Amino acid sequence: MAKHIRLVSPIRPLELTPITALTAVLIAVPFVLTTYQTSITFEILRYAILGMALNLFYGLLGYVNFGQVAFYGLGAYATAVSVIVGVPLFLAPFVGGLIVAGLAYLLSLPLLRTRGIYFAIATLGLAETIRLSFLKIPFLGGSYGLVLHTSYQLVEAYYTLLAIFASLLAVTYLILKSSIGVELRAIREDEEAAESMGVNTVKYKRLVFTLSGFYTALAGGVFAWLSTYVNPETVFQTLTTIEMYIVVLIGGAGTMLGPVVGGIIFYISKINLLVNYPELHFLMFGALLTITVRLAPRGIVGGLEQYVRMRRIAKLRGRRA
Amino acid sequence: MTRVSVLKATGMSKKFGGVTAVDNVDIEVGRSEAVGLIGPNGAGKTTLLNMLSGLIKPDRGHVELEGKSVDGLRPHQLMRKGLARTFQIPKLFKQMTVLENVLVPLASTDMDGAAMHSKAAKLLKLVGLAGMENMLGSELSGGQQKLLEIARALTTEPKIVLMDEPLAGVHPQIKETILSTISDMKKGGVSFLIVSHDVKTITSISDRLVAMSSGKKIADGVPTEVMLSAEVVESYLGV
Repeated sequence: MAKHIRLVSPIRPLELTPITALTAVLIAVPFVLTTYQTSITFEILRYAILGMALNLFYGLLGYVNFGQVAFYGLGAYATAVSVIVGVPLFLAPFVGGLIVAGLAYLLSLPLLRTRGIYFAIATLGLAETIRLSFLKIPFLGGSYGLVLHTSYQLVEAYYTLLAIFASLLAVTYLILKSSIGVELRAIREDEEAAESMGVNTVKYKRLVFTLSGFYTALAGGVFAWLSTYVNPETVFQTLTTIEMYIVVLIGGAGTMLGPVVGGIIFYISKINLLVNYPELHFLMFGALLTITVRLAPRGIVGGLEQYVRMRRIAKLRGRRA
Repeated sequence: MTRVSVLKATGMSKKFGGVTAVDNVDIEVGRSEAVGLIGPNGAGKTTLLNMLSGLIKPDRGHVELEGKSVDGLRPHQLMRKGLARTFQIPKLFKQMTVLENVLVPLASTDMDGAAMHSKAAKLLKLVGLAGMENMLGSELSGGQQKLLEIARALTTEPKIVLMDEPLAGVHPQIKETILSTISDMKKGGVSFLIVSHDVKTITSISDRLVAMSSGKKIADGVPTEVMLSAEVVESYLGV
């Protein structure tokens, strides 16, 4: 790994403007919107965080993890257990996140010896094994799960989630701007060539797997806090992993704001389709995803970035000609 | 004159299943020396390069870089010790820009961002790719991709560069650029081990030639002698 991580492209205030504006708007949400609207924003933030955490591993590194939901479920359970043993509620998701990060690192040792489809299947198998095991573990409540015995605290949970969202945005931005971002994308493009170009691929893959697990677990922890209840069928659903991929693919894999845009579009579409077409919503959602991927294979933000880059090249060529 | 060895490999062997790809090959490259590695298809040249650059593990053999053992080191560790390589089919990071491609090897050095950019610009100029910094790797022609791969291999100021078919399928003008880059770098103290089927060109730029056939080394010496060796003539012409 690089002896120290350096910026390879400058931090531009103009790039930070939409992020700062978005964060400011999100801070104001509980004050200006209704409880229902705040809970909708909470869900959008939750999906954006899940998308951004997956984006670190899938978008930047190019590895497909079909068991990403395992981190989410483990984070929810670790938070629930932390609350039950007396950890203050606002700290519990972070304790849970750290526990899951440790587990993710240990899991990365055998899992990341595999690549491609083998890695994807191994992670899917692991997530299912964890879900089935949690259904049978008595002290974790088996299929009934665990109750946190806390009250519904939307505003507190919302601001905790917002802090996690802002920190993940900052982490993603700094990665994309730094030497580590260049190295991660090199691994995504061609792992063998990256290794030959001096990139310590094993260390980076473990690092990003752990970081992605940590942030996914934090989202799971805040979900447990707000719902005051966790059980295996709720927090280990394979569907949640699929939803994370939809968020990333709609917005744009490997981009900073893609999962945020994807999270907004995904959740608003999801609730609208669910309310208006309860029998057909999965079908319609599939069609929406297919159309998006067909028209913008790099996602919405990825497509825009490509357009801007092509314009810049055309302008440079025009100037030279 | 005594040769100061940069790369020295002894007894290199590799089998894939029942097929012996490389059989007990010794090879040495001195400082500022260009060694051409020739042989018919299936001779084991690329396998030998893959073993020397750490991409595949040899069954047997010992490798030294500047007199120190580098056995078992991974490619990124060898790169940092001064051994760089290019591939027969350029392995560019195709969805990254030309500039980013050159920044990848620099990312594992101690340089700050400005120094990395300055170094990258210098190398892109050296190989004739200045002005193409914002293009994606996939948008370059085949020859330009070879040039970019060479620029990338030279970024960390290697002691030796292993090149696999750098001249195959490139435009004569780009071929000239590649040859002059090799010549300039050699003068600066860099060594080269170059696999090529272009015997005429490789003979003209190499100080020595090593010939392989069916996994074995069959000749090693100055180009004119090697090309007249009976075994080399037989392996190429079958007579």
